[in-house]
Amino acid sequence: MQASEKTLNEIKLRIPYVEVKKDKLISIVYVQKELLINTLKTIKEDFGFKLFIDHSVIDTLEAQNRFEAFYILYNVDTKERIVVKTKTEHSLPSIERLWFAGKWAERETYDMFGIHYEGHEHLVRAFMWDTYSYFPLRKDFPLQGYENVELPSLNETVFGDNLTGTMNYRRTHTYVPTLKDLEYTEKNRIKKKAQVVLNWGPLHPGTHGTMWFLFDLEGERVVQTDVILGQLHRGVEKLAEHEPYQQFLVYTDRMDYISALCSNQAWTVAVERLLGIEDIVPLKAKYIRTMMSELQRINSHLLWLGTYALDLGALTIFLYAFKEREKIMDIIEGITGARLTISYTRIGGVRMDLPEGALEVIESFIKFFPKELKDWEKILSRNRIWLKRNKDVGVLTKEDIFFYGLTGAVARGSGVFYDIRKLEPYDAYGMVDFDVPLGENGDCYDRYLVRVEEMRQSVRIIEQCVQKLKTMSKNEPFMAESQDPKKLRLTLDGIGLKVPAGEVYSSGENPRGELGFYINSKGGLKPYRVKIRPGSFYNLCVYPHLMENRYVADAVTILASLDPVVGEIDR
Amino acid sequence: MIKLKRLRRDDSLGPLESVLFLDFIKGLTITMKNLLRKPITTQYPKEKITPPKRFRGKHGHFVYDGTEPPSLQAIQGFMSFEKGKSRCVACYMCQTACPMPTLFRIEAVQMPDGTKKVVRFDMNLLNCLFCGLCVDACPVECLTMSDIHEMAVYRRSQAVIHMDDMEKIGATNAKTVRELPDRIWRNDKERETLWGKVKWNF
Ligand code: SF4
Ligand code: SF4
Repeated sequence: MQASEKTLNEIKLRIPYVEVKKDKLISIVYVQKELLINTLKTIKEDFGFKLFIDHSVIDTLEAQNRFEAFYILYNVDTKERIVVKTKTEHSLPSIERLWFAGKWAERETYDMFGIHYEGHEHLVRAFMWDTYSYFPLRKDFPLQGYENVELPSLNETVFGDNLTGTMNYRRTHTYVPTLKDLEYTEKNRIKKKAQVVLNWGPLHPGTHGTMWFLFDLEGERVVQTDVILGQLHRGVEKLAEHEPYQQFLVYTDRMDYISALCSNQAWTVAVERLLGIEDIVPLKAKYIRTMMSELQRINSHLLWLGTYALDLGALTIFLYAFKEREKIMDIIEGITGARLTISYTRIGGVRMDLPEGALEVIESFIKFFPKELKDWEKILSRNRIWLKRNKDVGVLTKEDIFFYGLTGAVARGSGVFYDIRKLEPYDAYGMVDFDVPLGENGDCYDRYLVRVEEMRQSVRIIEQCVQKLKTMSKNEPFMAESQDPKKLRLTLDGIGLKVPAGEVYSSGENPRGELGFYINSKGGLKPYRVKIRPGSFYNLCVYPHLMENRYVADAVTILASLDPVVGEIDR
Repeated sequence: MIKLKRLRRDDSLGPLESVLFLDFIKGLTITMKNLLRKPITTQYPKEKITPPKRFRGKHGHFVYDGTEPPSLQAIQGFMSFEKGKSRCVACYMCQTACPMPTLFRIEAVQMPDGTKKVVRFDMNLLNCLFCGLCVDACPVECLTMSDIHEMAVYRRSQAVIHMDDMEKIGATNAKTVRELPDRIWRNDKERETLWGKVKWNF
């Protein structure tokens, strides 16, 4: 929920120099840059908005105070969300003392917009290499970048192909980092304190993607850690500013590619909220989306369980998990037409109705799945190796969760009740019954238990959705009809979908944490600014803290228990 | 009502359990059980699974063959169609709906009798995201996606498909896939290796 009128008034009373504004979609507190830190501190400490959600800026291109910064915070007790905004020319005070996660957000904002943060301990780029000289998300940076490096294709030089026309091919490219640039970046990130700096990644199966870790080692003990990100950075946020709303859906597939449907759903719901059509989306579409994204959640957790067990040496679980995962793939492939990059939801509904036989297949899957799950638990949960490697490893307290802005299964593993499906029910989540599992100790073992239990809860949700969908006839609509009779359908696949001016922050519960979309629309076909809050990015930011004084062997366990996906971290 | 579920942690082994290795034995029973299962692997590329009807693979054009939807029948007088050739009307809707519009190259000319003829329809599939938005947008049900998914080529230029390729794909598609019932899979037999018997309700 957005912060209520009452809370806003209390804040106004307490901190008289702020301006407050509330509309249906968002509650905002405006403050001057000089008073920002004090305001954030009061809001955090006295009003309980402890959980850091996101921070970035919008390039307004105005002559004065060009950048508008926003901080999104959440109060877990009263379930309220608030946005704090300020304006600046080019610098902001750093919030790293209030939230560590802010430090990473600031690095990203510095990287993308060139905002300077006063008091930031180590302001380096988040995704680009350190010798890069542009700030790509600024509005005056062109979409295709500055193409000033000649890089002809082998097709052209060797085969003599004439690459013109639809080949959409240019001989010149944007600058690509050289080895020297990367070396400089590496040296710049970590100041060696101990004996040796160990590189882990960027291409290593244990990192589950292209992440590059640097461990400063004293013997086998890790003294400090840093992560170099950006190998998969594609500038999705920049692309979003140049794509119509419906078309951007396709890119959400490619962010968290293991749970594409959940990202699809989060984006669609965000745009629907901005359009104000959340209520006219047909019930059937809502149930289908909920069911599909729960299937996807199981799918994603299975991949996690399989690779996690594989990393810790339990190879069989990997094979068993992939067997079940293949079944979900079969279901998703049959219903949506693709296995990985799914693009099934549409703004206002879903692309197609369920085909014949879909519900039977899903039923047959959920009938056997819990049994399999029990089997795997029998192998793992009380296995002595499993226990030794998981118990009391990577312990996160409740305070850590807020300080590092952690969400999803990581937050729930530490006993923080934070599940968007319950807190801000979207689609059919408000209409189905399920429990939210919570851990106690916040170690890797708890996170394992939470994810396994989540799969069980997902099965429950799917069961209820299947029952409901069975009662619906084939002719029920699966796409919202426009109230305006002149328009045939709500959108003709997004061609000319006009969205009113306004802003919204809407999020969905991805298997990897909260995936939020902050959309700023100035009206028209394309969003003005889209900030994606990637769950994995913030979940990863606690990694250096968790690795402190641990041994190298724990690196894999802790990383896999945070379950990051690089496509989402880098965007 | 929000329901929380505190998880029960059962995370230390008793003395008997740890001496007799009961935890390992329990795990091994599961392994044994799985040892007796039939293998589920599909030996690709020797065996291949038929993709489902809705599969989004290589693009095709349905041809002008008397199966036109009403939206096309209304305007076919203005088009110079040939039997067995693409029924595209060059309306550019597919290109407009595409997240990557530059991959299309569509050209049409005016014939001497005033009708319109599509002379070029190229798609660079290297840039395609296989999302299907173009298929949804086509008002005359011309553009379609087939189940061809093995599309590796040696050169960039070979990845560009032209109208004649697409007509061929469309014609095959019309024969093999289009008229199939809208079912989740096309060949249940193949899926049974993994699924066992599925209980169908019809
Ligand atoms: S499938 Fe998607 S990306 Fe490919 S041509 Fe069609 S609309 Fe464009
Ligand atoms: S939308 Fe259909 S008819 Fe129009 S140009 Fe594309 S393929 Fe041709």
